[in-house]
Amino acid sequence: MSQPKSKFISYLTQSVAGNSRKSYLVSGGDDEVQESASKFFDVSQQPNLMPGERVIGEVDRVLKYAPYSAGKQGWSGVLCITNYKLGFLTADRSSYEMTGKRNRNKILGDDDIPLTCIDSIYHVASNGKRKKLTLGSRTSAKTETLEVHCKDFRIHKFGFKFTPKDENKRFVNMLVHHAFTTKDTLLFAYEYGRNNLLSGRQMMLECPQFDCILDWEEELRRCHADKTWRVTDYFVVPSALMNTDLQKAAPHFKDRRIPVWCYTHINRNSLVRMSAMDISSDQTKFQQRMLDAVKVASNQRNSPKVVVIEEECPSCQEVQESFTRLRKMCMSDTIEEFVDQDASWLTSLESSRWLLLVARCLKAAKDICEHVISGKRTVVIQGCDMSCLVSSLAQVLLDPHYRTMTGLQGLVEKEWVRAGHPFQKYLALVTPTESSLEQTPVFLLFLDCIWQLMQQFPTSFEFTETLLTTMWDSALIGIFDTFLFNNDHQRVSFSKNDNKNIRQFKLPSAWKWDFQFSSEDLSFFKNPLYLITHDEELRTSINDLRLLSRPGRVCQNSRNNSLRMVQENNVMGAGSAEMDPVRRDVLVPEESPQVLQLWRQCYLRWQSPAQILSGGTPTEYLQQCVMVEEIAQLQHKVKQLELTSNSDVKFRSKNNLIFGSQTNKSNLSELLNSTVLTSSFPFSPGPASKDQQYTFTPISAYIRHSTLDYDRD
Amino acid sequence: MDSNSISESASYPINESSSEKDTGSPSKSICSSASSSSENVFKDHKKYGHSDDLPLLPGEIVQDSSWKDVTYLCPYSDCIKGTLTITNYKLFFKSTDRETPFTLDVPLGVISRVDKIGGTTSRGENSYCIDLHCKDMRCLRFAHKPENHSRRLVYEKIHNFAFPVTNKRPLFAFEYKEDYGVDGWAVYDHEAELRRQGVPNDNWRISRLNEKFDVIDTYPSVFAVPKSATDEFLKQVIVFRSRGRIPVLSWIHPKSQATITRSSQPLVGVTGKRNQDDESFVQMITDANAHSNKLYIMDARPSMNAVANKAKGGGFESEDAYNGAEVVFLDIHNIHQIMAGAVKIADKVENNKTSVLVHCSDGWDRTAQLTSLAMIMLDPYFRTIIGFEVLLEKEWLAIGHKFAQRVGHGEDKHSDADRSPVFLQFIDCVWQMTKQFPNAFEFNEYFLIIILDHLYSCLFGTFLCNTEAARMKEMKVKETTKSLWSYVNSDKDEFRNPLYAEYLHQHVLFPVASMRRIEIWTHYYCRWNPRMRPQEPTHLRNRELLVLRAQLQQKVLELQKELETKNSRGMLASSPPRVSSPVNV
Repeated sequence: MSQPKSKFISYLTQSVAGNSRKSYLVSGGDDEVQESASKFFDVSQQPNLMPGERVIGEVDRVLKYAPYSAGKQGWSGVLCITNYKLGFLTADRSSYEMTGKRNRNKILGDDDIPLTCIDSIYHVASNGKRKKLTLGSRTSAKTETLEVHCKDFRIHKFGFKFTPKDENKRFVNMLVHHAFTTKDTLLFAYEYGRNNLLSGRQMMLECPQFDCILDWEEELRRCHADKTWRVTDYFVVPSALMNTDLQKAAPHFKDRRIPVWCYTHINRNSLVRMSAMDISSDQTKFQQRMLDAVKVASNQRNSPKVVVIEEECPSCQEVQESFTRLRKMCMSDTIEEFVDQDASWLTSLESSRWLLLVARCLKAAKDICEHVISGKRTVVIQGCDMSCLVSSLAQVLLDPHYRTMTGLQGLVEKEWVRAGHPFQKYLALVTPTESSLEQTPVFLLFLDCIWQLMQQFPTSFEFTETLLTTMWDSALIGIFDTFLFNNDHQRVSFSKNDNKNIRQFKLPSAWKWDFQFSSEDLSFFKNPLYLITHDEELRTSINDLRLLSRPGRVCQNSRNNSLRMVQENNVMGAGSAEMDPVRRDVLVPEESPQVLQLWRQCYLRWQSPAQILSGGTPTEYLQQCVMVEEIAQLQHKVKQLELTSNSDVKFRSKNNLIFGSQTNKSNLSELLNSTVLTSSFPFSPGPASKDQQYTFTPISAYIRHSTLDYDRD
Repeated sequence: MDSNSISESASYPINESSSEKDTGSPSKSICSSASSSSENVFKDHKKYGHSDDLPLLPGEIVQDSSWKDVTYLCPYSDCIKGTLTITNYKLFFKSTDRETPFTLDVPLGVISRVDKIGGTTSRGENSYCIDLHCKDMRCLRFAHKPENHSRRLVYEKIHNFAFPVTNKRPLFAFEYKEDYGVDGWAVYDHEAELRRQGVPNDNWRISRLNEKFDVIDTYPSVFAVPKSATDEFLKQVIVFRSRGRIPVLSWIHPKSQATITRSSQPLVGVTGKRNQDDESFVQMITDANAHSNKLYIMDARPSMNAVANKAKGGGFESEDAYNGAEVVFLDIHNIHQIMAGAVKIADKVENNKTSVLVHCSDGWDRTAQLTSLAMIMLDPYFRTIIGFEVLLEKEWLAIGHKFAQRVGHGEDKHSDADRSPVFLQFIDCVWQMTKQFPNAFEFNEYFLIIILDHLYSCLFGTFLCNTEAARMKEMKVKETTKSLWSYVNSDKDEFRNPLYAEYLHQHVLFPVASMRRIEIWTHYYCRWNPRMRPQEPTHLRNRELLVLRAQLQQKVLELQKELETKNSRGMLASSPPRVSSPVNV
């Protein structure tokens, strides 16, 4: 608190750049390099293994190059491959201490790459030839550098300068063999599940998984739809339909996807999804029968409105192509490449068409939403791969429940996992044998849409973009039940595989966040602006504030500003919306491509030259966190004072703080002191290279200078 | 007070969202609960335009009467019928055909071009029009009824008052009478700012050579030069610099004494002329910094242009002639390259402790952009509201950025090749920095928007004329006009960034100049399009937090006080046995 305040401090002079990153190659001959390197090679390291994980092979004296260092900086150590990951072990812990990275994964080290996350592998031979290694390809030449490109846009580069040729050839071939698994039964998750029996407590989740009737019934009750809809293993259909009806109708729908219930809005209009009919003679008959049942279940006179989304939404093919271009423009490993890409950045962004796809999805969801609100009919989404995206996005727009963390996770379970979105196929967790089956990240497109909504409605979401990015990462980790399978059928047969005497097992859910992160890290999932606008007591204070400044209250000193005229109109518009409960909590996003932005946290986080040091959205976020905490503290104090003036009762503050509730202040600042804050926080890759200057703004500075005074009870 | 209010229609379009709502577009009329409440949280405001009353500024006079039956062809909604009024300051349009009145309030200064579109014989309902092309990215079209014979009159009035210079009339700034209670002209004083930087000191002195503006006509009356250079000596250097703009001090590092100086190009010419005095003057600048015997000369032009300038008698310093100097061409074509250039300058000064001399050809366009951006990066003072005002006064106004020429104040020469949005580009760069460092600046983007709006409006004297000499000596703007800073500083709260955290940013900022981080300033460039406005303005949410915190702090204080008095009273009361019953009388 009593930090001396000097007016002009340059943190640059205290820069520690260069002395923590060991440079082996920059100066001196190979002898010198070898000597300094061998100091590290002597220390033997054991990889951190998970249950069921075993080391397949390892190679010594490997250099891991720092990103954008042009092979001039890095660490030396052991590269090892297990049946789960490609791991790099180094005795040089300086990177750990220096970068002070947050969001450190409990199951994966900074240098560990799950095999399911590997997108492609390149090898550069000593003659400089660069070659992509695919399944079945073998190398004969000595590998000079190995590049591992990941699905999360990260590039890892390893140097094999000091390893014998045979050893590295064997290793590279082994890596290629194991990284590209073509059978799902060879996935590590299987070994893991068999060897890691989760206790009931470890399986407990806050959000519904919709893998039991209870969750569905609860959801139906929440939507007040439990009278006319019923749950059958595990989806919801009109109560009027018998199981035999369903069985009869199913073959006539593409992929047997009959109309199933998704959501019922407050105005009793429901959202139902189904696939198109298969071409057959009596298709209309079956479709009509099902739609009639939906009509009855909705208690409506009109037949439901069928919206065919295939035209409006991008096709899988388009998603795939666009994503490939997006990935290309967001991945680089040398400064030269980065600068080159920069020159044509906007052109590449436009030609990737990614934002256009996002816009189309938002538009489709917005239209569905409008049908539900203003129509007098239930809406049936007819579509295939994109229906999960559109239906879940529409629900996010319609119902604030899905803008909470548990709500969103439940939604993913309900509309994606249970509805059989083929995660394994679309994330290419099992290496596709045909090139047309490459990564088609519909789920990422969904997360991007949510992110765009968060930009437009920053106080409406309980969570932050960090949660969304972490969801994407978790989808690629390859051990979570949530994102590993194509459908429930595969999920069930997977857990019953081979021996009958081994009892059925289950994999952990991705929503069990403490499985991956510490509770301190989890606090970065919370949006302070949501907390403050949704806290009962604070909300009244804020509403009072807003009432005070309502139009009509003329004050002196007022400067007649047209800026305010505009706002007044917004107020009036909102006022009428407040009257109508059907529209009250509905988000109406703007979807024109001009207002959409590139999700920089997710796509650019590994590009260290693009990171703003001690700036970017994280600083805004942390500043808001501190302000909200101060307010919560003050409010608590006011309450305490009000109470003590009446009686002597003391009570403790509620746990609505972001940093403060679990840990006390000193503990926290110690924890945060080492952190380098960049725009890629909490995924900070650290400074790019030695010659790039950088500044430090430890997060603890935010805490130290705030007027926070935590109760020490 | 009512009449004192300024109508800043330039900063935001009026009521366009209401018109949109009327047309039944759902995009803004349905709002989430979170965004539903009032956006204008802390500012009280009043409605104007109850009946036909027109908001007038002191000094503003309506020209003729209003013209009825004019149609505004709004690009974002339907056509709007209404009345058009022209004053000596603005164009005012008010709808007559809708419940929620739609008004449009455009300062005539923003108009760069007036066109008549269509003739009396043109077919179609709204084809007999006047087009107004505005400097703030708007194009307004008003349709007239041929039978009303209003178009010619309106055209003449607009032309007359939008281009006062062409028509030999005074700009409205000289007629505008307003008392803000704060004198914005007092914000900047050359010597006070130099003193803040620690000048004069052992190596730098203040020169009054140009006190009467008769030595270097585009320079301020006072500037700082190396101590070893006498005024007599300076007179010799003047000969070798274009327009006599010799290197003068912009900023000095408080610790290392490394400096940023600026000048125009040396008059090298095709023959590669040399000048002993100029060379030794540059040496003096190098020597004034004890940390380095090197000087970086940053030439803002692409090297091609610099070479081409030799043909016109200009050019750049040759490294052979200037000892210890390294010439760097910044190769600036685009906005991110300006930022990259400024980062380079800041990096040399901060990290290499080396002085930098910046120039382009004349040293009033690119040079101003570079030095002022580098100074914002280096010195937190320039990231405050007052500091930024000082920066503009110092690096742009005093040292002769030709505002009148670049903006074309009051002239109808819309295609004048000398017009150039150099200043806008600089403000955009500043905005990019505020985006990259959301809590490092005291001001918000409305501050930047207000500056740009009044750059064009000619309501204030601040941005008039081309040089300080013209402003101070000829036009005497300090006496005859109001300063924009009077308006801004009279109520700074509106322009404050609620996230400003002074304590965190007492150091150098290095923005990322990559295109990956450059954004389009939609709140400025696209603000007239109601669809491009934020759904839920975060800055207001942030400001709410600030006010809420202040309120709670106040409440805590009150309660603590109350408790104290109660306790002390309680102690007094507890000493004698209580006799009084709780119910009195």
